[in-house]
Amino acid sequence: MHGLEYLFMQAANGLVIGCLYALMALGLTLIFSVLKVINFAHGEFYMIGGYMSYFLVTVIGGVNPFVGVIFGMVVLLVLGSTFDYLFLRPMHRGDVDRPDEYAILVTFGLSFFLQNLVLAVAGPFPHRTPSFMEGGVRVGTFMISADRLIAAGLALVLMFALLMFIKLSWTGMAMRAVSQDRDAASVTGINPLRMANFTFALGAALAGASGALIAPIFSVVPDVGVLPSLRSFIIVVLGGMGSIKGAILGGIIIGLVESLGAAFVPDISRALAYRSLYGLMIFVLVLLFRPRGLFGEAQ
Amino acid sequence: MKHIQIRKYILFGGGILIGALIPLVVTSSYWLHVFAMAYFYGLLAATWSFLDGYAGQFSFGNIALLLIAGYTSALLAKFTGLPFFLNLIIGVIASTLIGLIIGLLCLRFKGAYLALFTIAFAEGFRIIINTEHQITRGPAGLHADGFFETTSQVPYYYLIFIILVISIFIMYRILKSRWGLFFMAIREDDEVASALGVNIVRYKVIAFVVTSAFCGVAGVFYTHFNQMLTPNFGEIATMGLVIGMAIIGGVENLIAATIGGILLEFGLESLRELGAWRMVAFGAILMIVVRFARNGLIAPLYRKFIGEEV
Amino acid sequence: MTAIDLQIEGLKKHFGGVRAVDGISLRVQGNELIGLIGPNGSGKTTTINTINGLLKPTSGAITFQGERIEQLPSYERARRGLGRTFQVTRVFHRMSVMHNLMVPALALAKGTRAEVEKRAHEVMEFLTIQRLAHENAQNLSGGQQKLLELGRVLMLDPDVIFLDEPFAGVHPELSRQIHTYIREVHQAGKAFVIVSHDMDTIFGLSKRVVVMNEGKKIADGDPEEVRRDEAVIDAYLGEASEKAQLEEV
Repeated sequence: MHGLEYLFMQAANGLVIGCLYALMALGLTLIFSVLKVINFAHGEFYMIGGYMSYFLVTVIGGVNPFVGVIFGMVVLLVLGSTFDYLFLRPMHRGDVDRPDEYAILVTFGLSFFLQNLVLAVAGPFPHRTPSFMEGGVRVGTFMISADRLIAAGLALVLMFALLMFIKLSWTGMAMRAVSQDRDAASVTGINPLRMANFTFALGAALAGASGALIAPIFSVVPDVGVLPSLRSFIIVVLGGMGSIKGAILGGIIIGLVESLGAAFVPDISRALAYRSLYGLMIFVLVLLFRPRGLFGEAQ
Repeated sequence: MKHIQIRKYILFGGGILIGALIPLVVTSSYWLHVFAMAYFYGLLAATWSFLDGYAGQFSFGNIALLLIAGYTSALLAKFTGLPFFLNLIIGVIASTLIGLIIGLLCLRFKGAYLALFTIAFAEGFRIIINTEHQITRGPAGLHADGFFETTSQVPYYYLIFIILVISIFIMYRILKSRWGLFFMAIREDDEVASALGVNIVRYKVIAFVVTSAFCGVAGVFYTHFNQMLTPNFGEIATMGLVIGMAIIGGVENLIAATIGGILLEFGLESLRELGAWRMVAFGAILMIVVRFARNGLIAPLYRKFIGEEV
Repeated sequence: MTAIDLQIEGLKKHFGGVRAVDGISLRVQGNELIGLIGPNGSGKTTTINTINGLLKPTSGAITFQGERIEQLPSYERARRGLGRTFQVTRVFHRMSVMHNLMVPALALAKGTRAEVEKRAHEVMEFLTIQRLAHENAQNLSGGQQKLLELGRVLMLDPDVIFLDEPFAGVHPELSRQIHTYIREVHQAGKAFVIVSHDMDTIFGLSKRVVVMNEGKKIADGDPEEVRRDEAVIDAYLGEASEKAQLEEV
């Protein structure tokens, strides 16, 4: 298989995986939008989502993988909410010097803690969750696995549900209000602390969902979240910090870039190793020349 | 003020004396190696304190700069016939120059954006080193000659100890001078510092350059001490360790950060049997210190003993 | 010493669609003490921010002592003799009062460290805050921080000093003290441009008042004339009557 067919296969894979990237990045951008915090533990939330799904479906057993995804999300909702309450609340209250740095440090500390906790408890060896569904879908001469399609499909469903929630629900409106002007929102009776807590938990759950959805496709190891974390930063900066459509579009773009970029480098082994570099280059270029990204606010 | 000076002399003099005498008491090669690594991490923690604690620039680039110096020195040794000492100097110059460029690029970034940009730089560099394994031997590791012919750890102990003392002394003097005040003003509010005449461009870049130079020194030491360089050392986790050490020691106090690095590395080594649980504890302590003791654990003790700030 | 000459011509600062400063021209010559007033949102602080370099102008020229400075960074303008304070105090929180004061003088290399320390002591005595010398600036009260900001800009020894709401949120006793300090420094030869809502103080302090409204200058002259100027009354009454209309609704 060569030429155009290969390109199409890569593009298709890129789109599919891009949906999952977008889901995770959406969580990060929501957290930034409402809390003004860049969550350095986002990759570990993704990782824990994968491990929780593995734990429920494989270790405990008797449940189908879809429930694993839900379980992962629930665990992350609790974890996210607890962490925000214990560690981020003083920052929301304004009781902290250099709040930007505080947020980086405390989320980074969490990332360190979680990665090593999972390493200590579950060991360094990779684990795989069972597939959602065997087989795949044939398109022309190539095949996309059912797992990938289901994962992408569910990611799209989740994103759609989230968008509806933000647009139509009371809480969604409150989130938007706090993200635009915290003080004004609090004057209208919205509790910014509770909104922050909810949003952080939600963002964590989205990362966890992404991790749980990908777990049947790629195995989980304690540091499986490191690359996705960086990738989420890239997507969010590319799309514009706090922009929902930016995160979604950015996720798709990065998914495509990583898949297609490999196709354009002649040396195969280098091409694969440099996959992450393409995204990093975009990242650096955006930071240097258009820091607000595609849809972000001018700074 | 006089009694502060006296107390400082006691502390520093005593520390240097104890450090110089340790190899006479500790004969185990293993533990001397641990001491050496502890001093190494103390130096790294100090560089991070310098750049972030004083100048307010939250950079993830220190380890990458360290590796630049190390790989330059080791690769020069591998591919050219240049004298050993020259390789070291070129290595440090390389990291300093890259640090200068990073510093210039970072002028436009603040806070999280600066952190993200430097992460991108560090990761990009690590990926390249990893991939170009024909040159760098990638994850298998690049071999480098030791400084000394002997297998004894004693000369290495004294080498890093002297490097540490001299480096800390230089950084300390810089921070005590007017440059230190400019750094702190930039950290506090760089717009206001500029409005008051501080050339924020010059001093931000100086902060990066000085930090990079010392990271380079640490890098060439590490390379020819460990006699092996791998790109894994440049993973974000290592940087996190250094940042954690500086924070737990007390990031806005150079001496406290250094002591923090030394003690924590010592502690981590001593508890080796606990494996990954050490790092779990480290992460937990970091979060708790940031949340409840933002000034660090060592800094208040230091200040109490000395009787002043910084 | 050459006479002070600061000329602002056609200065504009637009933020997207918002015309915060929309073509203001102003000349400060010699050691004038100018009051800059205007209703909320008239662009006073933005004007200062643009003159001092915190913001780059959208268009217009700023000439100081014959040199065009509008593209220079803040610190270059400070070096040339332009200083300012901030509406909401921005002291260096985790540095001592002493260090706060030393920074600008050291930045401009005004003598050795010992000389700068001595000068800082003098400024602290002038402002009667010498007992706070080694306190961290964040531990000071609001009024003390205002004095510290004033002291800091004095350490810069600029020729033209822009004060942005120096009397705001300050109790009357302290307000009067600040009034006296400004007078003394003015007499020593410095030019001042003072933004304030405190009409009485401004009218009492300055011989020349400039009024801004909606980013433009609408009056410039003797306090008494300005007080009676129709455009000025309109601008303020306009604001007042808008408030009144909203209250009716």
